[in-house]
Amino acid sequence: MIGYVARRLFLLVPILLGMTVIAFAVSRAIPTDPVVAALGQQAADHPAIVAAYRHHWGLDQPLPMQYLTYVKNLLHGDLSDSIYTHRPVTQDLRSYMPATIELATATILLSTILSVPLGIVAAVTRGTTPDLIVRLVTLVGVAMPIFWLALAALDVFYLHLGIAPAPGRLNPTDAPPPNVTGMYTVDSLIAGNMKTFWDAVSHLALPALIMATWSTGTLTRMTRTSMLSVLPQGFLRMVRSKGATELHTVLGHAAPNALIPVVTVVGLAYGDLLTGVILIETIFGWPGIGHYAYEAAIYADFPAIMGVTLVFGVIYTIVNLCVDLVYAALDPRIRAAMISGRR
Amino acid sequence: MNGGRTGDLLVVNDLHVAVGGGAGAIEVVRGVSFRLGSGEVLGLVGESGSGKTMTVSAIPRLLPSGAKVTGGTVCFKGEDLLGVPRQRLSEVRGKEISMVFQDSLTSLDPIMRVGPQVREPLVLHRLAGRRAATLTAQQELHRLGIPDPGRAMMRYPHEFSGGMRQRAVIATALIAAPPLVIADEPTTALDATVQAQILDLLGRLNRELGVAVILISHDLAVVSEISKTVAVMYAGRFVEFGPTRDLLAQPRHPYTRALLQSMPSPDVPKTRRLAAIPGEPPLAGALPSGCPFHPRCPYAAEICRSAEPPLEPVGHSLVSCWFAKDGSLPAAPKETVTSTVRVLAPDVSETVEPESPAPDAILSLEHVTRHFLMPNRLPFTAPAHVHALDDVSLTVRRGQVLGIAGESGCGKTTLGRCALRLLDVDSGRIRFMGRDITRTGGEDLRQLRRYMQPIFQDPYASLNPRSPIGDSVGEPLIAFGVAHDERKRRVREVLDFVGLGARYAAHLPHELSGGQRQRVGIARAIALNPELIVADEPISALDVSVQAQIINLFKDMQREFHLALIFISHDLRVVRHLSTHIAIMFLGQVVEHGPSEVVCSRPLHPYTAALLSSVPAVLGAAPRERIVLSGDPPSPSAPPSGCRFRTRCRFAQAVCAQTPPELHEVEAGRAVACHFPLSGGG
Repeated sequence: MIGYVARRLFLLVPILLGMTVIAFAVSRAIPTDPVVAALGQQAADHPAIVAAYRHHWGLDQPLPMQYLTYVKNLLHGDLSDSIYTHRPVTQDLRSYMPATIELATATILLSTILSVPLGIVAAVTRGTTPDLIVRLVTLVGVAMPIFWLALAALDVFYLHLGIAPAPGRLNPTDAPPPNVTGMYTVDSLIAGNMKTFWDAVSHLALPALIMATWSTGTLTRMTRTSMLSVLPQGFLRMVRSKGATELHTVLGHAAPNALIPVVTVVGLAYGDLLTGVILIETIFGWPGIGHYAYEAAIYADFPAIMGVTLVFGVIYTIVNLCVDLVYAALDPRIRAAMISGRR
Repeated sequence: MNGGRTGDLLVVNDLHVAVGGGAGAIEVVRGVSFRLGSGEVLGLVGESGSGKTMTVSAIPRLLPSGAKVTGGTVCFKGEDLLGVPRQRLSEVRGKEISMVFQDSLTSLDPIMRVGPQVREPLVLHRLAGRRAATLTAQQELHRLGIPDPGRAMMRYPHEFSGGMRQRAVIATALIAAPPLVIADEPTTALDATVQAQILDLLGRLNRELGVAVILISHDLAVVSEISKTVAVMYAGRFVEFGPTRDLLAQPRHPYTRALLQSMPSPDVPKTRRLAAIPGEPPLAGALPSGCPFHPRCPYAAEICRSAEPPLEPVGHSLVSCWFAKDGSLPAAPKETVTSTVRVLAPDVSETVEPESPAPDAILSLEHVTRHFLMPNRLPFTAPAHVHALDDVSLTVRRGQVLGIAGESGCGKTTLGRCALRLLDVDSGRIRFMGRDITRTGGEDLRQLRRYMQPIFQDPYASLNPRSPIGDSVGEPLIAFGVAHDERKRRVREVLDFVGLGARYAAHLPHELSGGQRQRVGIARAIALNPELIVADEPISALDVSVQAQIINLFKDMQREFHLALIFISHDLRVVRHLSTHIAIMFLGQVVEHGPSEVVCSRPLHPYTAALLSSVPAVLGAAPRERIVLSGDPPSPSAPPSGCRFRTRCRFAQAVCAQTPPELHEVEAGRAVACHFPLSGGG
């Protein structure tokens, strides 16, 4: 098993290298000039300034050389400096990433807790009223545009009812907790500051809930489908013949089998949430990685774009590895296949 | 039956089960009644769709969704289970009535260790704490012959062999010591020697623990092994129900009689066709009027077509036949029973075997070896070789039928595929019609295919579902450039020969029944007039009453075309009946080989003897000592040293572990690979 994990982590290296090549090539191929974007049209008309700028950022080198320099720096943990923020990209990522992780984690926990019971109930009551209600609600959740829901929720809960706080991660009067993980909920707990913790939670609640409408819809449907494929299986008849109640049959035997494929979808949804929630982050003033990626793209900030791409690559690969490991933990047949190297 | 008996454990009265609802409901069980006393064994026999599984599933109310009881009562210890609340039902299940299902792989939760599953009934019924239940489960597994039960409890179902899994399922069913166990085809998915073990076990548990058993099977011989009473089901009803001995010795219903006569057995001379039942079992939704068996019955009269006979006492039995009571059934079935197949050779009593002293060898395998590579289980270890075929030499001559018998994993399918050059061999030589074809390839090989044809186990999977039957049969003819008109004529001819008739040419495979599809498979194989046919388990997927028809068809084919046939089957009864020569395989090797009658009546290899004795005793057979092999077949990737059979052999000695026995000729045409061959009688 350890060998398997090591093999998968080792595979990260070629994957990331490949990603740098593609990201590098794409970012250089798009017809935007970072010089214009960064210096403004007026300075860009000045050849000396442009030349100095290009030299400073290494843009006067041939493309392969630029790439090699980048990779060399990368090996030292240096993602170079952002053209726009003028700070090292690593530092930027470290300040933006925790906000996104916090939001994505809250969202995925919320939607998993909601969707697994809903999916199980829908499958067991297939074709009857509870099933129809669950299916209708989840369909709405999947179909509703997230940005619209977000605006509507802000309008109702913040402007009119006043039960939700204003956008942002904390009240302006609260100071952020001492930085440990960068996630305010976790950091405030570590600092033992319950007031800040509840403040952070209340700010987290609405964006997480809105984002969870989509993932809950998908996960509920997946749980239901998976349960429906397990419920007719012979071993459940065997369990019933042992004298198990319906509750034990469903929760003790059917659900553990049915939830294995759901793990994949949870993992993929988590990966999506970690990498692509620009709209929600914008609407709720959430200073996360989606926000950062958006600005990097606007300003043709190549080092930032490359940094974000790499982080996304690492996130997806690690989430996938985790999904596979959870799979193996849950299903002994997959575990056996992994050990024998057939996967 | 014996009315007024006290202490009935289970009384089922006029049970009706229907599938679907409203106007489209189809009755699959149509009024079944029986009583079962404590410690009794009832055998329930019927073909697929006869309603036997539905009948027993209704007892603990475990019917599949969509099926429901529409009438009758099921009284268990005086309590009508059909009326009790769910809560009470879960108290009864597992503790009072438990079930063993056919497919042991799907009967176990795949992601749960075996131990917790076996002990679950004790835990669910709060009969023991977890720790005590674990100990009981270990003892139960030990009693059922699972080696090292402590470790076995920690393993997952997929790490068990089929026999081990079925034992674990039986252990689960028995652990709470229920007075009634319902076993639904418990041995159908298992190898012959393992089937013998499980039957032996069920019989022993009944005798020693006084557990009442309802045993379901499609195989009358399996049921008659351990049941004192047998019920024969047809189209959702009992057609005959009585003491096993009476039912076997003097079957009163034409269906029972026909079933018994259609079974290949040593008593039926090989030269005779089996008394096959014509037609196919009816579908539950489309039963014929009157007696549902009448379209297949040689005695059917006017009354049979108009009214369904009641189940009435005749002798010690209950029989549902208008003519059973007065004993007016003629002793021998009329000619119509024997065949629906056009008999091409008029005289069926003529001997099959050719008289010429040494017919041409069509195919010979010389020291053929074929291994499969398994992916390595641990890093830095050599990948495992599965010894599918190891140094196998066999010859089949024109007009001969070479039967290959052995358990799953013995390499018989690989042998068939190598013979047809569908698989390449690692070493050894294959000669076909005097020519070395071991490495023939490309167009040469394609031309050879004209002379060698396969017949597969699953006729449905081997037919293109979108291609009409006529096209499927004609395809080999197209491949070898037979002109259009000639092709049409030939397709008609072979479809006629296999008893389908030319009108079936336009049908699609799904419009045909299993038996008809296998006829198509045979028609396709003979269309090119090949020299060699390899049939791999061609009747295993068919209903019992249809099997005899196909066996007869093989006999007709052999007589008509005089080709060389390799017939592969796990069923020694069939192989014995059909073959002129037999090769017994074990773990990739031929352990015994010779003329089939000689091999079967005087086996020399202990494995052959065990295999023969594991064939369920057919009626009238003299009681004999059953050789029950211990354990499961060893893994083909790690065969034991020396003689591969020695770990299961009761005669094994030191030399068997050291020196692999050579296959040596003991008399003309008779060879055995054993250091201590049995002497004659077996």
